Amino acid sequence: MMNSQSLSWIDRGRWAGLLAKATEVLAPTPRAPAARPLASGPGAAVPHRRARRATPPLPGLPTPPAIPRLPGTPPPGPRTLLGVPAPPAAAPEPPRTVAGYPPFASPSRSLEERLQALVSWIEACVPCHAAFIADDNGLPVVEHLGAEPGQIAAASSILLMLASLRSLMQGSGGWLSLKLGETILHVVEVATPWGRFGIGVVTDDCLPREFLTALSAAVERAFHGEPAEGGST
Amino acid sequence: MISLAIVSPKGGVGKTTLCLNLAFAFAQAGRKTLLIDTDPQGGIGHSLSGKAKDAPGLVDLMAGESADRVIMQTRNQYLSILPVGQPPWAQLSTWSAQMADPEVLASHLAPLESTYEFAIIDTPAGLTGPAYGVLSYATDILMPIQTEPLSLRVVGQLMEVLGHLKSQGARAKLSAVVLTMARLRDDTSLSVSQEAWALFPEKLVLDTIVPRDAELLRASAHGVPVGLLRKRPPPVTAVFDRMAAELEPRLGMTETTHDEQPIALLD
Repeated sequence: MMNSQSLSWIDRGRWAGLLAKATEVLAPTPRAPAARPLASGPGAAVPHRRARRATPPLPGLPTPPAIPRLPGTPPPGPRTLLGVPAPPAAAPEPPRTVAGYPPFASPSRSLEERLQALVSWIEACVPCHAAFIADDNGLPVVEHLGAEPGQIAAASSILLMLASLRSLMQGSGGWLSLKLGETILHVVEVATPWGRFGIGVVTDDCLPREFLTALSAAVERAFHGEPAEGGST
Repeated sequence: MISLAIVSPKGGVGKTTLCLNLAFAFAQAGRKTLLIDTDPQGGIGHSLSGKAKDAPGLVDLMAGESADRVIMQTRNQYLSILPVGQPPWAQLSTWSAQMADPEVLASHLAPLESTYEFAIIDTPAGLTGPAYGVLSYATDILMPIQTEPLSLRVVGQLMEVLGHLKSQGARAKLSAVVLTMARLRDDTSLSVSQEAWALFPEKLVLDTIVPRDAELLRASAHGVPVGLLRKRPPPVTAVFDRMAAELEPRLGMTETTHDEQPIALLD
């Protein structure tokens, strides 16, 4: 019920004019993306908290602007209930296979389910104490096993450090392994149209290069989806 | 000098916390920063341990005191503070009215513009008096929106005043909106955030969100920016570093050159 009415009580007719005046150079192009699921009834789907674009369309507002894409990412398709683009309908590429590791595959069209599948896939591939996906604010997006809040928060610091390093050295993405006490925290940076995320894995040993290669391909498929026959929505 | 005013019609949205920690983040990044307090309650002074709350400041600068006697140099060589000073409580309304005059702040801060690359200006809640004067003077406005409904309902007031000032020739523009005291697991907080994201253009709302974090409270209790709370700062410190990095291109800041120079360990 919370999202079914305006909380701001703002006069929409007047708002665009105010915005244009106050911002001077920024065009008034408010976003009005697809509806957020209303989690009001029993059993209703709980919206993922990262579904930040999932506000109901506001009356009288123009067509939502396109989300800027990162280089090398496919164009986003229609938005899902989670407020993120659904996987494109183009023919899927076959999963890349890296020797020793099963190819990651998730038929779901839901980003959240694919990310959960990714974490499960990591746990199946390498013996680990914890695996998680954190956003760049250090908040968990998906966590399995015993990820500690400090490890997830550390992912935010590591992402920040990787961003700083990129200002010194060309390149994109990256990963870092940090020995902390008896365990090693690995954080792999992922840039997506929805922001930067860190894939965290806590292990006793270093991760094999082959696994990182396989993880890179898996992350690509998890975030960008792979159309599948009869996939869940 | 780029002057960024933190302005909100509503009180308690985290303006002073934002000012202090953002100024510290910019200074840590090598920007020569002046943190200016225009709130007669002296929020900045009360947020810092030491002599800031009792020191002379903006009030005295306006009364004719020289800038070098009222500006406090911090231990960070890139961060200086102009506290508000001791407002004339008996003539507070007169002082506030004086501050609302667009020319007053401009004339007193003009001599400082060549010394500092960047000014962050804390304002009292509301849109009158000192806040009105700051809106008239600043080059850029950052509007914090506390993620609760009342804060969202008053954003139109700032837009109205800013629109009026711009029609009068003011240079300030709304450069960014930041969500503060966020608890996105809370449905109301999330709903307010979503409505803010929908109301403003995507380019205007910072991706960085200031969470409701106990470490900020702890830093306030100790009178320090959160980055100085302890030798290994808490993770929330990164929020302000990231916000500063996000703001730099929006404010038209060029590459810093300060940090290319050696930094002397001793004076």
